[in-house]
Amino acid sequence: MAGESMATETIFDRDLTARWYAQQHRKTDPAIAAIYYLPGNAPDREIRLIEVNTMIAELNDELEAVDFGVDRGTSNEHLLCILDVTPTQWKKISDSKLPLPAGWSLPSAIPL
Amino acid sequence: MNRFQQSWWEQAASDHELLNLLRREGMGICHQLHYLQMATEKLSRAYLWRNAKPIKKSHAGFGLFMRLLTQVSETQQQEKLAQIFAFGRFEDFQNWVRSALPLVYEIERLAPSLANEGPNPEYPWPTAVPTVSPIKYGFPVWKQLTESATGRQLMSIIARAVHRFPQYA
Repeated sequence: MAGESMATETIFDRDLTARWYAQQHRKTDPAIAAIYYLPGNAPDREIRLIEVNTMIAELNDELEAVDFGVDRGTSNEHLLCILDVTPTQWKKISDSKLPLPAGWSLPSAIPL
Repeated sequence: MNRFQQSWWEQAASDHELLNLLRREGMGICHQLHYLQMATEKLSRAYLWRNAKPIKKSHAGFGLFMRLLTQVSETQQQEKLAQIFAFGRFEDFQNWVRSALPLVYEIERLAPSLANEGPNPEYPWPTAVPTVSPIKYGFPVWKQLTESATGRQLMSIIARAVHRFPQYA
């Protein structure tokens, strides 16, 4: 996770790294119902994940991702952005009734 | 907000801003936790200064602050707090705080004075034989804060608590 290295001196592979994060997060948080990876429109070194979680509170506010800088100054440097949503919010997102953060693209979503 | 609260809140907001910078730059976990602990402690002090009277150091914890927010009795204030923290009802906010309290107390216990000669984000430990440095240590609380949705939601609520402090001080 942020501040930790997935691999020390490897070439950054965004798709592989996204899968690694998904695995790690599932191990830590049993309330994760689904994880979607959204590479569309994202800068090359930015990983965008939507995590659908059954245990979080639904906040009445616009959706906002949390971003973490990882491995700065190394070949693996990237930004990890995670958007946590409830199953109800995910349904609304899927039905285009709840907007994603600016620049995020749902059609490219890959379930992990 | 009185002038004592203003002073503590300004410092808390500055610590929190630095935490955000450190997070986005991917700096050492210990440094991010250090600023998180300091920001929450100072925010708690800002809140506890609402009676404009000095507070005991031992009474200024983040856990107490969060619990006090859930113990507001006036309906109008309850609705205001729920709105500030983006919850539909005050009861939802209370339930959320209850579920987040274990993590809240873990953040509070990061302060070296409460760490019992163990892991803390500032100084190597144990004091007599300092063999572990914070920069090399993988703090379990960090894993909870970053790899679980509850942890990330707590970070988000802390950000709200800092930014919107003047509305509920």
